[in-house]
Amino acid sequence: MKKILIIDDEPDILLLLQRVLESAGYSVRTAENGRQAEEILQKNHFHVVITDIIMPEVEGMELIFYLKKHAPQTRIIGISGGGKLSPDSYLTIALSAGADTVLQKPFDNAELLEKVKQLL
Amino acid sequence: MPLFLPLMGIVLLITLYIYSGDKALHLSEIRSAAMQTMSDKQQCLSGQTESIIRDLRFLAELPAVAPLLGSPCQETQDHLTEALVSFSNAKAMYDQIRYLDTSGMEVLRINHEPGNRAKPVPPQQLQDKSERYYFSSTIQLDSSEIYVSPFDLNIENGSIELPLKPMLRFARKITENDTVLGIAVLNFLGKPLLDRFTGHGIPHHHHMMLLNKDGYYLTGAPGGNNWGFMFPGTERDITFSMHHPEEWKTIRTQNEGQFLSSRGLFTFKRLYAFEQLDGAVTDDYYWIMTSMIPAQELKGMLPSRTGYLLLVSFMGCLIFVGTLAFTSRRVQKRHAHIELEHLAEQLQEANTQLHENQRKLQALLSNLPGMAYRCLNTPEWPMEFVSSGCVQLTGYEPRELLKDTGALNYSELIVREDRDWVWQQVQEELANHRQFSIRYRITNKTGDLLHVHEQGCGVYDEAGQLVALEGFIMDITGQVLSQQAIRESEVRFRSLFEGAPDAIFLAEAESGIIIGANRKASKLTGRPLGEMLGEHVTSLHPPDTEEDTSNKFLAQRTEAERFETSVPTEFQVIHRDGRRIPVEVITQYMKLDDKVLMYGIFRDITKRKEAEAEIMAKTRLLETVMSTVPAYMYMKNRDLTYRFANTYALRHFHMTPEQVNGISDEDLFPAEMARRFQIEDRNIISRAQPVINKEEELQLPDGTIIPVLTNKVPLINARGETDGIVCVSIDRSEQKKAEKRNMELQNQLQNSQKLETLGTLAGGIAHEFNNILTPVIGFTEIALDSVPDDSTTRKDLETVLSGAKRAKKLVSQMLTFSRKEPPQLIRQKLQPVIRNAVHFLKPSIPRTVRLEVQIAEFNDTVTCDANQIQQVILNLCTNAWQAMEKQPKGILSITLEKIQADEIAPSSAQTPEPDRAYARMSIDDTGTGMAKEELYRIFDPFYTTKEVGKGTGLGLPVVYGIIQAHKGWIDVQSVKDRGTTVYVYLPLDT
Repeated sequence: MKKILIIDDEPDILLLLQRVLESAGYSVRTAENGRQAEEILQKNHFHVVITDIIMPEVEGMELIFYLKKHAPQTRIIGISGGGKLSPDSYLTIALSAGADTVLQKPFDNAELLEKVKQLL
Repeated sequence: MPLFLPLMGIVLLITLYIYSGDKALHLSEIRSAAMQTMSDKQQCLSGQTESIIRDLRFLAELPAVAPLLGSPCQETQDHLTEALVSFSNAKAMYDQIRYLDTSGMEVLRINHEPGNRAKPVPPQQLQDKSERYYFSSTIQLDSSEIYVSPFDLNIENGSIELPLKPMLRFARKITENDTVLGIAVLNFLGKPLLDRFTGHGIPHHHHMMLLNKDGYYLTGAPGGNNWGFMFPGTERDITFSMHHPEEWKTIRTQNEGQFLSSRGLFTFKRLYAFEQLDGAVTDDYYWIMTSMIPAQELKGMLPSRTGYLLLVSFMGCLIFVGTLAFTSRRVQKRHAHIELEHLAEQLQEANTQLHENQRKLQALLSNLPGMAYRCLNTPEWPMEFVSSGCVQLTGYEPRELLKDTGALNYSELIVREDRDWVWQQVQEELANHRQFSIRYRITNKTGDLLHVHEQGCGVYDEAGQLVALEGFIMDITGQVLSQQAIRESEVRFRSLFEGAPDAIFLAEAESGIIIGANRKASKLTGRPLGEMLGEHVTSLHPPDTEEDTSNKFLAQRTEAERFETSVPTEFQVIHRDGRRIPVEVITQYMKLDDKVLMYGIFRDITKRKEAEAEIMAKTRLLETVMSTVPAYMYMKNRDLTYRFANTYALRHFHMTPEQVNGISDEDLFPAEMARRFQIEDRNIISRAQPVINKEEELQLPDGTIIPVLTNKVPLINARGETDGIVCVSIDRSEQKKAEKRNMELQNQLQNSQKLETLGTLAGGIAHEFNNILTPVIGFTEIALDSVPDDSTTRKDLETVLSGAKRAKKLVSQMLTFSRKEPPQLIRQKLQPVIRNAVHFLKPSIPRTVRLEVQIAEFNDTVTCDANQIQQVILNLCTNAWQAMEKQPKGILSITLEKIQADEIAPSSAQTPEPDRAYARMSIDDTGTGMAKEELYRIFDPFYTTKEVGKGTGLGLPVVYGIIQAHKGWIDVQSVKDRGTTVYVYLPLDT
């Protein structure tokens, strides 16, 4: 069973992604911020990490750098609802930082599953 | 007695001899007087005709005449007419002055009736004179020759003009460069000439006649029957030869002469009045001057025979007594005989002497204008003798004044106040045995006061005792009065000369030497009078202006000689200190004896010049301002007619200054506008109050109405009355445009600010929204999976899902604003971009809407971001078809065309760059359209006219932002219920 870690500061989004991915047969863990995610990642291996880009504590961008350094095999999907810059630009930055793919919030469940499937 | 008869005979012979000598002497005096008169008259008449010929030459050679006859110009003609009227008035002896062209038509004619002013004949009354003898004769002459008509009477309309008008016509050809232009004709009034011939200085017994060469009387005919040849066959047809056939035989054949006939003494001379003149046609042209002293008159003028008879009788008595004595003393016969012979000789001599003296004295006494006397030396002056001149002097007959026969002493005639003085003067001179010469006043018989001069001396007997006074008293009243008048006029002249406000110089015309100047002249030049006298007049003027000065001076002299005085001319006078003083000079010429003097009146015009210069400068400034100021300036009279308009106004109303003068507002503006202006103007005039900064409108001739800002001010004259109005209107069209433009910019700025605010806002909340929407959409999808297809819950969930998706779209659009990156601008043709957009668009358009696409082909490119332009088209088209959704049918047109800057309507939202070409995309629908209020707000973010849930209110703001980033602009035209057209302008690449 493929293992997926989801990081987002919005509990509703965490809950949703968990529901969607678990019902699709993935093993899912969640983290509410970057620091929590790093702690989990030190002890566990994941096939895919889905991370929000803009979060309190450790930013999504920092997490991407961490993953690239400590778990280079892990595939990364960046998600973002945008911010002061356009959502595209955040996601563009995420891509250049090392994310394998990005997804603009809000998205359809099917879109998400499609992306994950492609990466595995 | 044998001696008596011979002696008597001798005496008789001698007397006869003396008598005949005396008679011959008298006759010769009379003859020479007659000859002298003839010669005087000849000079007088010749002088007159010479002056006419000179005038004719002057008129024929006037420079203005050639243009008059050649190519007439009204102005030249007016000037010439004016000059000729003055000329005619000055001369006062030409009945007509005329110019005829080569066809004999009168071109210019000045008539001058004696006693009236000369006046030009109106053009329509000018006549054709080609048939008249003077025209046909003159036109055949050489140009230097002068035609002189026979001396005859003027004929007006075929009959002799009454009263008789003797007339002489002079004519001469006018040529220019050998081309004959016409002739000049002078009609000379002959009456003054004839009057001169018969009048003045002719002894009364001379009968003067002027005859033409056929012996007809021109003047002096008995019974006034002159001009016989003009009345052929009538009783007036009379010639000199009818009255004096014998004499006419002599006169007719000789040039001049004098002879005695039974009818009297005739003196005659042919007058070739024009023979001295170059070019005058004079062959055989002469008049005959004739004078006659009738025999009867002549007789009275010769010495009387009676006096001589008395003398002879007296001598006879004397000889008779002498003869008696001689006879009684026969003894001494021989001796006595010798003595007698001697005596006879002496007698003859004495007699001759006596007679001569007597005659001379008589002649003297009867001719002298005064009275000879002899009186006693007492204060009453009793007269012993007075000559016949006393009648003329005192009005009394001699006998009334003589002491033996009259009751009047001469002293009573002397004015009372002068009597004692006369007595004393005479006594004083007598005491010194001197002649006395005194002046005093007497009263004559009719009570007139006379001034007399008396000269006389004492008469003494052999013992040296004074026995009487003898002397002569003469009337000098005229002389005294005229001297008095001269003295007065001298005083007047002096005071005028010195008291004149101007400098006056007097100089000899011939030499130009200054011979007099007044004090003002000294002041003007700064030089003492003595220094200026004897200098030439040119020394008054600056040396470097000499040429100009002498030209002006010559012009003035010519003028002054012709018209006595010159017109004022400006000169400069040099002051001793070197200053140049502008003066105005009038020159006059006058004859004083044989000398011609000129005097110049110099008026210092420094102040006037300064004032003129100042006025000129002010006028020029005013004119410059008025002709350059970009405003309508005009002046109206009190009656509201236009008097003046400046260059700017004239140009805009397509008028000349002449055209504008006198017209009124009705001629310029529509009735209503004109009426409004006039009401306003009348108020200004009646209240004398200006109207300032009034906003109004003017309509130009092409119908354009322009907004103006107007000031109207009453024009107050020196008497404080309102003469009219001065108006200045400034065109505010440009200002208004600028204001409009400003407003547009402000709108644009507001829109931009709104969008910017929105962008900032969007950036901030988009993240939150997206985070919220993500679970909404996700969980709804999950929920839908577990709900059966036919359940109502599924419907509800689907509604939630579509709402969430709309929210997602909204956020996405909001984020488009917050996007700060510039569009990806690439030079590319618009046509493919539009076609692509249409391709995407087609599926979403309802079937009720027909799509019409017209894309013009042109190779110009537009620098643009294709995606953004497509979004613009999609947004605009979506709006368009949504506006037609509820209609059964609609048309959506998409058009692309190329348009030049000057084809773009001025009302467009943005002013195009001049000379630039633009791509214009139009999206046109036949939908619901918008009202004006809605139209204003369409670019406001979140403003929408669509029903709730259909529009975001961001479509057009997005379009707006994109087009602005492409340096283009948008125009929207919409009519409620008819449809909307959106024009998108994008600059084509150059």
